Formats: sequence, structure tokens, C-alpha cells
Amino acid sequence: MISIKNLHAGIEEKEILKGFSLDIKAGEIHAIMGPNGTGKSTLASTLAGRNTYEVTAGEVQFNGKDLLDMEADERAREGLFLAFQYPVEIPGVSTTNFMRAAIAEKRKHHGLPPMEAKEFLALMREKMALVEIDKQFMSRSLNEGFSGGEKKRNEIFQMAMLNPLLSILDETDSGLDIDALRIVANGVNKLRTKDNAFLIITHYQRLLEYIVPDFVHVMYEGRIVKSGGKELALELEEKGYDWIKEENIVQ
Amino acid sequence: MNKDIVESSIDNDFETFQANDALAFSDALMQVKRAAFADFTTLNFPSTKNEEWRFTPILAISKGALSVLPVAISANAALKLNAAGKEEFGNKIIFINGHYSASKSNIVDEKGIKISKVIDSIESQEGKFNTLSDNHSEPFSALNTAFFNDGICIEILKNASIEHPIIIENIFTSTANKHFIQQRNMIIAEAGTKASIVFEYTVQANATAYMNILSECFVAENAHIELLHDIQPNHPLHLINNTFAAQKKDSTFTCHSIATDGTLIRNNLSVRLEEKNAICYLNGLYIATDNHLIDNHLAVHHLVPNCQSHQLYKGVLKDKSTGVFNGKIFVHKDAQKTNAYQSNKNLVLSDTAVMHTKPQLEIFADDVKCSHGATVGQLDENAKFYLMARGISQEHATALLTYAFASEVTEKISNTEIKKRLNTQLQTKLGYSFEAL
Ligand SMILES: Nc1ncnc2c1ncn2[C@@H]1O[C@H](COP(=O)(O)OP(=O)(O)O)[C@@H](O)[C@H]1O
Ligand SMILES: [Mg+2]
Repeated sequence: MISIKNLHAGIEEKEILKGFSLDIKAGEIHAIMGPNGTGKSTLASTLAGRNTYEVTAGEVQFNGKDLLDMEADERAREGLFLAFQYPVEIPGVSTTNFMRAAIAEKRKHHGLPPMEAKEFLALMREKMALVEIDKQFMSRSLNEGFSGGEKKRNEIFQMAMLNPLLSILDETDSGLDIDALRIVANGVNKLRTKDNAFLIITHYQRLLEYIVPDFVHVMYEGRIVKSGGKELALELEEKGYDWIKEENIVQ
Repeated sequence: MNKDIVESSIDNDFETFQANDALAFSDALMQVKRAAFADFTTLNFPSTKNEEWRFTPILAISKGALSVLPVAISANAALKLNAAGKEEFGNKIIFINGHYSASKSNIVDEKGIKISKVIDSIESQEGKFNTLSDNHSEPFSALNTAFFNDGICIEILKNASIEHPIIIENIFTSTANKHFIQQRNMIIAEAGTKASIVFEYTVQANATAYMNILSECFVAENAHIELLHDIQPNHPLHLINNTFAAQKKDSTFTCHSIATDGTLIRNNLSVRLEEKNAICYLNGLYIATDNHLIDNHLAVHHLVPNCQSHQLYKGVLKDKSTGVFNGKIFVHKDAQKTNAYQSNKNLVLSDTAVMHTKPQLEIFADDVKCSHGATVGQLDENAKFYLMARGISQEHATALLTYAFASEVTEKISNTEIKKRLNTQLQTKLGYSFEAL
């Protein structure tokens, strides 16, 4: 699905990703854990195509295509999705119109006719139910005045609407209470198929009790320093990140 | 030298105008006109040395060799109205090249409205006509007063609530000579009335229009009047649009100045809050493209205690366009407990577009709530990235965010028919349509 090789990226003089490599296959769920400021969000943004970050080396193949060659919008239409750590508030654009625009452009990209209004509304209803969002949110300005949890649920709602191949969830769990966490996890589990994949960035192993990952990676200073199965998350929970830091300083 | 030529041409025009028996002005009106012409002769067309016109050169008008005389009426005969293509709804008042056309106008809400030509109402409206503008200091008010020969007086009769909007459409066809059309209107809203009034402009293909329009609006006690200047002519329009309003107690006056097209648009809007609990809402939206210029000059006069004024003006400037905003708020010394608010926000979407914005507050009372703010900026990059990260192209993301920015103003229009039409036009203008998805 995606193959990231030796990715280096950063801003101006500062390198943030320092040789990040990872392969994700269809049907897999990968988790990335790591201390704050280690470059997890930078990785997510760089993959999604944010121009702030300049890629200085490495390559990324996504579904057989050169990901780094595409602009953010094209990456999304090709099936990449980023659930933002900090979803942006957009006054004046309703979630409904936003989704209508996004779906229309994706379908056009894939040579499909516009979705019928009825079909669109049915899809909206189905996905709202999945993340337990009330329909009044749909006509309100996107994320404006939403609580932290509502914003995160809205991200999962959008993911469900767009049905991506690869979803990157950037700390979708932080700031969520246990009910919201369960809703988000349930959303992911319901959307999971053998044809799509998830990259879940998290700080705590709490989310991974609900979404069971196939692989857990520890990221530190811009690259993966340790990989393992789901038990690695538990180990990190127990020991914290200090041992990782120490190990890597020793190196 | 050039200036002399223009002046003498206007002098000649006034001679011709006075001598025209067909115009048949009353002696009293002719006297007013002569005084106004003398005022204009003193003031002349403003240059950019005039502080009020600093960023707004009007050479296309002042040096355009335009005639200020009425267009020959025969020029209108050939007009096919539906060619204008505006959908029909509401009460329609049609002007063609500055001439009121009774036959093409259509009033559906007959109860509660009285329509007459302004010339025929001056006497019955004594004490109102020509009282809100200042011909000594405002060149275009003086010019308008001297040369107008047509225009409409709309009376909303006591306690009437007018269901459909009253739409005044100025249609311009191409004429043999270039005319700077002077139109004079009065809107008289009696006590307890409610109405929406719209000014529209249609310039036909191959035509270039020049107009100096002046409307005096009297809002009586407990009257609620909404005025919309809907300026999207589609072909070149040079418009000096002067609107004056005076409000009595417990009244509201809402004015939306929407200009999304036009070569040179200058809106002069002045509101007098003359009795307590009067509220005005002045909203504006301007979207300028090419090398066009849109200028909004506002003045709100708080003359008595307990009144409110709210200004929200938003602009989008593209290409090599220029935007000007000047918002004056005068709080006179008796006007305690005034609440005055002003906001001007601009999106400058190209390196070659410019925006000049200036608040001007003069406050002589001490117990006043007054706030103002102005911003000039670009679209939020985070917002743009968020949209693009969902697959929306950069072009559409820009259009969508611009629409979101601009529609805050159109959303304030209370008449739903008009609001819907404007929002659709706005989407078309920005190259993005929700309906078409
Ligand atoms: N746009 C930016 N401007 C300046 N510094 C940045 C920017 N983005 C990230 N950084 C820096 O890069 C490092 C990694 O940040 P980030 O990717 O957000 O880490 P994480 O998500 O793992 O907490 C931090 O030191 C952060 O301050
Ligand atoms: Mg982060």
C-alpha cells in the first residue's frame, strides 16, 4: 500500500524527519508511538502533502505511484486520508457542503459521475450514525465551536465518508473521554477491510486496547528506532520513553 | 487646458438644460438647481488632492467628455427588456438610460406603496427634498441636484408592510454619445412601515455606463427599511452612488452595499440617527477584479442618545484592483449611550491588488461604546491545506473559502428571495457552485 524509504524532511535549516522508513500492506494496522516533539505530526503532514515541510531525501510509493510527486489534493483523491491532530475551524463552510465538494472531486478524479443527492444524503446518514454525530453539526460551520471530542469525531466521520485506502490518524485519541474513544475506535474497526490500511499515531496505548494493531513502532528523533507487535505498546506504557531515549543516546 | 474644456462643456450643458422647455421645472426647483450648479462650479470634479477622493481617481468621468444632459428618449425605443435576462419577481421599477419607464415597471403590492416621479413629489414633500445632502461640500450631490431630471419617489404608507421587494433597475443601452446620467430618488417610509428596496444595474453588451445617483431616504418612527445596492452590471459601469438616510425614533435602517463588478464604483453612504433608539446596520461586500476600483465612503452621525450603528464591510481584491474603505463615525456631544461598531475585513488575493482602509472616529460624548477594527490579509493557509487534504483542488479551496468569507455579508440580507439569488451569483462569480456538484 505504502512504502516509505529513508524519508528526510524538515523546515528551512531544521531537519525533523531523519531517515524514516516504513512499509504498510493492505489490511494492516500500524501504530506509531513516541515522545512529544519527535516528528510524528511532521511525518503525517509530510505524507499528506503540506508544503511547509520540504522533503530533502527519500521516496514514498503509494499504491504504485510516486506520492511525493503529487499535491495534497491529488494524494487525497488517490486514497490517502489524514485525521488532523488539530482539525481546522472553517467559518462559513458547512460540513455537508465540504463533504459534497470533497466527494465530487474524488469521483471526478476516478472518472465517476457525480453522486445523486439522495445517495449522498443516505451516505451522510449512515456515517453520522457510525460516529454518533447529530445531524445539526452537518449544517454548522466546519469545526467552528465544536468541542475537542466533536472535532475528532468529525474527522472520523469524514474518513468514513471518503473511504480512503490509507488513513493516518494523528493523535485522534488525545483529549477524548472514554465514550468518544470507544466511538472513534468502533469507527475504525467497522471501516477496516482487507483492502485498506491504517497508520495510528498515538501517545498512549489506551487507544490500542480498542484498535488492535498488527505492528507497533517507536519513533524517536525523526525515525523508527524499534518495531514489534502489539505487546510493545504495553511495554512502552509500563516503562515510559526514557529507556528508548537512553538506548539511542548510547548509540 | 483639458480641464477648461470639460468645464465649459458642463457650462454649455447647463445653458442648454435651462433653456429646454420640455423639462418644465417649477420656478422653485429651478432656483435650487441654479444654486447647485453654482456650487458645482466652485467645487468642480474632485481630484485625488481632495482627501475624500485620495485613492479614487475619476478621470474616466471628469475627463471623459461626457454629457450630463439627459439621453434622448428615442434611444430607448428599440430596447427589448427581456434581453436583460434578470428573473422577474417583486415590484419592478425600470429606468432605461436614466428615464423612468412606467410601461415597463410593474407594482404587484399596490396597497401601501405610492410611486411617483420625483419631480412631481418635490412640492408635496417639502422640507424633505434636498435636505440630507450637502451641495456646498459634495461635488456629486451638487452636480446631481443641478442636472437631474428624472428619478422616483417611493412612499411606503403608514403601517404598511410590503411583502415583495421593490426593485429599481437601471438599464443602460449603448447610446450615440456618452452620458453621465444624473438620477434623483426619494424613499419615504412612513411610521410603522416595513419594506425591502433593491437597486440593480444592468449594462447591456457594447454599452459603457456612467451614472451619478442620489437617493434620499426618510425612515420615520418605528419604520424598518432594508436597502440593497446590488451592483453587478456585467459590463463597464462607472457609478457614483450617493445614499442619504435620516432615521426617527425606534426605526431600523439596514443597507447592504454589494458590488461584485463595475469599473469604478464609489458608494457614498451617510446616515443620520436623529431620534432615540434608532439603529442602523450598514453591510458591505465588494469583490474587485481586473483594474477596477470599488470605494465605500460611509458616515454615521449619532446626533442623540441611545442609538446604535453597526458596520460590517468585507472585501475581496484580485488582479490589479483597488479597494477603498473609509468609515466615519461622528458621535455628537449629546449622543450619550451610543453603541457604534465598525469592522472592515479584506482578502487581498494578488500581489498587484491594493486595499486602503481607514476608520475615522470623532467622539464628543463620554458615555459611548465604540469599537472598530480593520484587517487586510490572505486566505488562511491552514484552512486551505485542510480542504486540499480532503481532495479539494487548490482552485476550488480558494473559491470555497472566499465564498465563506464573503457570504457572511450576504447572509445578513433578510429577504430570502434576494439572498438566494445573490448567493448563487456570488458562487458563479467565484467560479464555484455548490448546486452544480
Ligand atoms: N511548522 C513548524 N515550524 C517550526 N517547527 C516545527 C514545525 N513543525 C514541527 N516543528 C518542530 O519539529 C519537531 C517535531 O514536531 P512534531 O512533528 O509536531 O512532533 P510530534 O508530533 O511527534 O509531537 C518539534 O521540535 C517541533 O517544534
Ligand atoms: Mg503531534
